Amino acid sequence: MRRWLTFAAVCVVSCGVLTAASGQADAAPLSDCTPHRGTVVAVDFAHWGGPLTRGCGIGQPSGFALLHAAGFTTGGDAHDGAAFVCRIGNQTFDGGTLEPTASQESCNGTPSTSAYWSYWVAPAGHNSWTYSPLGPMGDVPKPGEVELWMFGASNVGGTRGSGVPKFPPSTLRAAARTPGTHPASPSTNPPTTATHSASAPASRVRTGRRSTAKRPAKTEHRQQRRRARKRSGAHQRSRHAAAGSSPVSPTRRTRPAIVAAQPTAERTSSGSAGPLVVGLCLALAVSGGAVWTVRRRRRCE
Amino acid sequence: MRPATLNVRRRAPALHDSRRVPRALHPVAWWIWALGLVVAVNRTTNPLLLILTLSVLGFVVANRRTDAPWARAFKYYLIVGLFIIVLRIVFQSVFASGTEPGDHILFVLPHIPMPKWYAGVQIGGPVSLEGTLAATVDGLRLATMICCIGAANALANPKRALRVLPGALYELGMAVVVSISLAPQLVESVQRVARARRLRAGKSRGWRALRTIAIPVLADALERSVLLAAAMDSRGYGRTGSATRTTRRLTAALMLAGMTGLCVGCYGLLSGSGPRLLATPAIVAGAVLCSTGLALGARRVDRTHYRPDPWRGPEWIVAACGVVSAVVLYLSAGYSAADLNPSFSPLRFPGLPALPAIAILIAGVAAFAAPPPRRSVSGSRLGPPEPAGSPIARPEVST
Repeated sequence: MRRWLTFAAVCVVSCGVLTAASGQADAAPLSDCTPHRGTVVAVDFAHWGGPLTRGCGIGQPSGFALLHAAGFTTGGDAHDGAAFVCRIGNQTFDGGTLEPTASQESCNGTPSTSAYWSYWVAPAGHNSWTYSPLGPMGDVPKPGEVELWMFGASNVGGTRGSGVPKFPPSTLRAAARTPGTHPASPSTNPPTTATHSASAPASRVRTGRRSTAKRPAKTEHRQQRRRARKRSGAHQRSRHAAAGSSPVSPTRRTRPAIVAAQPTAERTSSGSAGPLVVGLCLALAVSGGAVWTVRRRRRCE
Repeated sequence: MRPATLNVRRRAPALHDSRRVPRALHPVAWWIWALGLVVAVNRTTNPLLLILTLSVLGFVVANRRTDAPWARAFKYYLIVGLFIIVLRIVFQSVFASGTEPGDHILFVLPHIPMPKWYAGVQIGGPVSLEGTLAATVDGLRLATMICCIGAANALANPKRALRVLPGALYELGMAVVVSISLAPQLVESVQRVARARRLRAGKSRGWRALRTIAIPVLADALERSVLLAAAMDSRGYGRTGSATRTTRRLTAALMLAGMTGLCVGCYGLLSGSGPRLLATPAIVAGAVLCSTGLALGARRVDRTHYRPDPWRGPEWIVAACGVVSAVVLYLSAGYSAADLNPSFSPLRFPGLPALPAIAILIAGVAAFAAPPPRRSVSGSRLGPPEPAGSPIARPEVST
């Protein structure tokens, strides 16, 4: 008995300590990430017509922690818990709503391969995406690495489908930095190759990429050809999507702008306890009826 | 004779309204009702709806079960359900599934570091309230589904359900009946052995008690199977009738292919995450193959029914109650889909969507729609079980 009491006390104490400690996640600004320091993580909300949102984390223990350190919020699934990233949200798109929403995906179990968040990694010095062999809990972000979350479909090999990134990692590297939250600033000095050379940060938004992850060299050529096709409708688009209009087709040619992730505003509303009370009362009434019947039957016997 | 009649009147009082004639509801109606609830439960992780379903199941079973041995099995299904929930929570806690910043940490288990090549599995670590709640609800869903099947087992007589199967499915049906009545029979065996131990004032506990219960139960099971085999043999099971070897093989192949198609189709339709495109063609193809197989196979067995089960108004109502709850939760129209699968991260109270709740309460109408069950006259719990408890006691098929 005493041992149990001690155990309970330890539990309560550790609970208090951890709850106090858990609120101290520090979000590193994007400028903290350099080609050799910190890991850039990006989430593509293009499936809903949203922007490609980019954040930074330094020395994070896992890809999951990196997402949160960069200011993203995630939602797990009922079967596998928080570790299975079923929904992702950020303040930059739709007020931080976790996508996909409950009406699109129930997140009871593993979503189907036709619409899910796929996890892509590009180590420093590589300009092609690798479908991460590890989950976000097992992956340890390395300095200079870029991680990407894409929503869509993929085949088993991760080579085809709407969830396969159609832009190279160089688009997102620390060198290609966005200045704050202005997504559509005019371009001046486009970076040419996907290196992490410490060249002057190119303050431009890169759009209109279509390339396969397999051929980085060709990709760059295509990029240069398509550089003319720029668009700067990220804000409009996300507002559009927020208003509930139909999402833009994922097969479109142009991409919305890359924006810097912003920490999602805390939502403290825990809903109303009314439905809980009503539901429990209903269940109690029905099971009370069952118990009463059982008692009566017993008396009859 | 006169005292016996009085006895009946006294022991089987008007538990329900005396105007209705007690009779057993058609077993298929109970199974449709229960499977409808299974489909409904499969669509939701709302704990309020799940608890409501469980209480509705308990209410209907309490009101409409007979005194047969399998009808007492429902509480054992409840215990199994509880075990499932506990196991689910333990697994969730031990195999860490991660916590989000801002989660409420309940306690921290020692973390066992894994080698790099096995980084996909994490053991130990912080256990959050959010994760535990999600695991509880996930376990509750499976437990509720199992209790739905348990309710059908408690309410319907499995041996009478066997009679409605088409001739071609007879062997298959026999196997299914034997497997689904395994749990109730074991329960009955355990109860019988426990009763005998009580009468002999057996006080042993722990390992010794397990031995004194397990061995008689196993011996009982063996004895039962030998008896069943003898009874089936004497009633002409296993004969092939006028069918040729080719016909039999063709029937078997058609049925097997058809069943596979039906399984794939059902999975595609019900899982919600499977490919929808595959589902409908698979179901249609499966149904066509199955009906061809049934038509072919039905020619080889001639059966007549002794005291057929009627399908009347109450059967329609009970089956409809189950189908209504399945359809309402499947269509997910008229209410918010988010209420059906509430998230516990961040912590918030679950909502109670009105339409699904009403649909589940409608399933409880079965408790009033079904006719009151026939009660055994010898109300004594120590008396012999109802004759139908033994598979050979009542000849149900005659050629």
